[in-house]
Amino acid sequence: MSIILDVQNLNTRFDTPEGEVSAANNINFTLKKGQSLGVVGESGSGKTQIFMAIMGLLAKNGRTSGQAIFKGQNLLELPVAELNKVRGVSLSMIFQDPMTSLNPYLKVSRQMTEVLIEHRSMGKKEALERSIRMLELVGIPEARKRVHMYPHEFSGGMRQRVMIAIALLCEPDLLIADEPTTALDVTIQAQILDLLHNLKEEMGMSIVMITHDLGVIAGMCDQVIVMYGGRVVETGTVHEIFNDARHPYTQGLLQSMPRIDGDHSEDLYAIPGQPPNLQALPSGCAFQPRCQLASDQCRREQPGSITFVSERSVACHRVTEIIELNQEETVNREVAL
Amino acid sequence: MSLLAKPNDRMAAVLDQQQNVDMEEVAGRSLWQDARIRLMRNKAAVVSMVILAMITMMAIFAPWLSSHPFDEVYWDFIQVAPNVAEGFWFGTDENGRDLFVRTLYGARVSLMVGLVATTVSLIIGVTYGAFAGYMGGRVDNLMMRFVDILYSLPFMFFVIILMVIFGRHIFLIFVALGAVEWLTMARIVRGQTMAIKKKEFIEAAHASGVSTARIIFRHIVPNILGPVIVYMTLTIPQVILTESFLSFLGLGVQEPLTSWGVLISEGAKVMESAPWMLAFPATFLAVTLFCFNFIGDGLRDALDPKDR
Amino acid sequence: MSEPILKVDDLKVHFPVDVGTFFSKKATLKAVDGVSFELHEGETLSVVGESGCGKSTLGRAVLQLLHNTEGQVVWMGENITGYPVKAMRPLRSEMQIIFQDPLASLDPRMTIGEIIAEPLVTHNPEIPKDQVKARVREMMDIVGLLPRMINRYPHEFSGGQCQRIGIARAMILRPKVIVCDEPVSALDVSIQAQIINLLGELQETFGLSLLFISHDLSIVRHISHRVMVLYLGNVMELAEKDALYNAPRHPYTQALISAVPVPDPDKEAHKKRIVLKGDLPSPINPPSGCVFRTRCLYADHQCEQEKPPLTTLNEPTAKGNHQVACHKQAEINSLD
Repeated sequence: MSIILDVQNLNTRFDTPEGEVSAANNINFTLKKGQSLGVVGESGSGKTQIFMAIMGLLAKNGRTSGQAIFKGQNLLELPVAELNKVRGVSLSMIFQDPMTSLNPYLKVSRQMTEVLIEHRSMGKKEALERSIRMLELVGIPEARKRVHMYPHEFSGGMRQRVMIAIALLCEPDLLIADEPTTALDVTIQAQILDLLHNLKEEMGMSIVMITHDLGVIAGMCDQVIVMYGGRVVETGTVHEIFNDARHPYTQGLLQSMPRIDGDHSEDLYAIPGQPPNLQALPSGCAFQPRCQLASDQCRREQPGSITFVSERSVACHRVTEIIELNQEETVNREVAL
Repeated sequence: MSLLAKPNDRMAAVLDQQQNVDMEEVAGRSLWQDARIRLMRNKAAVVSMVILAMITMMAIFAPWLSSHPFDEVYWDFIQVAPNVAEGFWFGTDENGRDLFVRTLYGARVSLMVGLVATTVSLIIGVTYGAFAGYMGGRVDNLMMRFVDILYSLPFMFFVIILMVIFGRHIFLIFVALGAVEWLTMARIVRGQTMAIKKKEFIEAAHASGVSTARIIFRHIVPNILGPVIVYMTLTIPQVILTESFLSFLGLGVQEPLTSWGVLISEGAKVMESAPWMLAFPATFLAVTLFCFNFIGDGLRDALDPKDR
Repeated sequence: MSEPILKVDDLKVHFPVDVGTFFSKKATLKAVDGVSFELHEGETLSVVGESGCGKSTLGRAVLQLLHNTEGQVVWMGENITGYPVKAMRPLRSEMQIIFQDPLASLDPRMTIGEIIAEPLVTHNPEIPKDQVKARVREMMDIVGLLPRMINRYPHEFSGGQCQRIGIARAMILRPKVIVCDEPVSALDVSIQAQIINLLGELQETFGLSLLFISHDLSIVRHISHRVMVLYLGNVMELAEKDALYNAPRHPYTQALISAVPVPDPDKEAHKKRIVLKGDLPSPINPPSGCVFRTRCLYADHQCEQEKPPLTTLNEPTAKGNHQVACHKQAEINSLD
């Protein structure tokens, strides 16, 4: 399979009155065509900033270094005019709040056809027809009528669909979805996830799913990146992450999620402490103050990323011990069975 | 994954705060302190405050800064240019009075009009606005329509009628300006109150059974003070300017008392033959207005919660 | 079973609204439309439902923070419906609320100490200052805040810590009931668990009853004893936790539970998900008959005509008091 997005050594920094803040450090990953990548992390883990940087949408005080090769072009070095030929055409992004990317004063039809007229040099009629087909594809009933409505006339779930339809207009090769269902109800979330899943299967589109919900990742993604304090702490396939987590943070996160199918007699496992503040990261490993395995080395040195196989890496000083313990536990579980 | 033993949850929260545990109580930094620190970082605002303080001090201590009384006519020095040897630092006016002293006396009147009128508008505006905003509904509707009606009255007309009926008096200027400026203040305060009223911490206070009066004074008023202070600093120059304008039209303070507006008006008439008569009071007025505006801007930036 | 500490009977909360741009018409928004339940001592009753189902309104009406249009709220045998503000005030020490947005629920101009002390000072103005402070410090310790932080301001704390402050304020008068309005949905995953455990711990120690309002079915399963499913202001199903999650009877509950993603890729891959069509109808103009019928897979003529009453199952397999409001309930559940 060909690689569609190759990010190497990406760094994002922000200049603030309190000094420079690193939102993302030394990010490396690749995404293959037709695959979906889940990016998990808490608020302030830098997960969104990576993709804002790739899309060239960072706030004014932000700077990026490194490279993000998308279809042979380094997006981080493209001039804006060139970038605009890629953004919204072969690379699209959808956000948590659809109203931030929809213009409330323009009809949906206008917002959709403009994209097609601009990038696909279609005629007005043709563009409108295609817009309607797109709205039908994302499951908007009476699309022919609704295409002429304003964004606020749609409900939250419908608005998210409209945004997805706009993102899909030019049949992008890669769709970046930033918490696309967080603001939605579960039944609507199920609809949207179903839709994205089908689009991936039918159009062969690659998807990046940025979310804090491990449940969404489990159902949608092939590859997973776990972020903490602006760094990648663990990467792997969805099975590796969920069945054989090796970073204490990933393990803690998985255990602290209340599960609808789980055991409910006991207290939840809670990761102690608070998420880190990017402006005042602890010394050494960012997770060290909340980690029960933290040693002096963890408090002193930033752990480097240890790669096992191509897409499997963990950034933890104590990973060898954790692997042993994991294996022991698997053995014990089998014995118990 | 039983690798991580379940810690006592209470320990969990404590853990991250534990780095420097001593049982001393830690002092917090209130939003006001934060704002003050931000304000002090704003150079334009700090310089403005220093200049304004100097002008105010000069106005207060005017009688001791020069040997010339403000209303004495020096027959030998009619409309002379600035003259350091004789102690007429800013020159004299067409009646032979010392312009330096008169400018400082003008500062007294102008600054006082600014402060008093703004304070009047502050007291009426905040009370009226907070009450209307908190009550809401029909009461609010009635109160705000009344404000709208007052807004639509032509201000100059109003002042001229007052002057004609009651004669020219400095007190009337306070009344006239205060009566107009409180309208905007009331609108601002009402809007802020309505926004704060919907916040969850107000609901939390309700749910705890806190009395209405306490909610208004303990929770609402401190939280709307920010915009009120900013608006106040921007109202003062506006009032000073209006007073100057009134004086310019001849509706201001009465001779021999003077204000910057009166001085500028007199100076403008003899702009070509005695430019100093216009230049000095005009400079003082302009510098003061600049200072207030810079301070207002600085305060707005310092108090703006979005910056946090 | 002992006498319930809170009994809600056919509670309705309707709001007048204006519709139309120029010529406004008066319409009624039926936020809560006939809800009945009982809350016992030491029990957690969860109210789940999607946004706009009236769960927050219900929580506030129970506390009489807003007045209900019809029905009764009975607090320890006393009908408190429509009590004026003054009469409610002494009762406020017994029932408290914690909010969704931890920072917005704390007055930014007050110190933590003042915030937590406020209910205490309001209800017991005679307590001397040093005793108030001692009790605030004790409470801070109980909820897992360092007492030496007493003079700090809310903005100096993270979301999870602010929620602890909110809990301390609610707990300082040792109330009998706390309404928790989405208390963890604004928090990060790793912090949610801390707060849920804290609530469980407090409940055990002080025998608290919780009315836990949430849209997150996983959290609800973890924390509740009984669960009530709300849709457009109507109760769809009310049952013991395990009965509801293991054998949901109402088609809405079934869809809701199946829609929750499970953090397990193998289960997710093989799960059969019931995807509901369409959106929540407007509560200003709810569907006739059963309010859920427009999105229901099984709806027929009867559902359009008659509103299904909330009835207790009397099959031998049903556990506890399992109530469902669905005409087709027996039919649907005999299919599989």
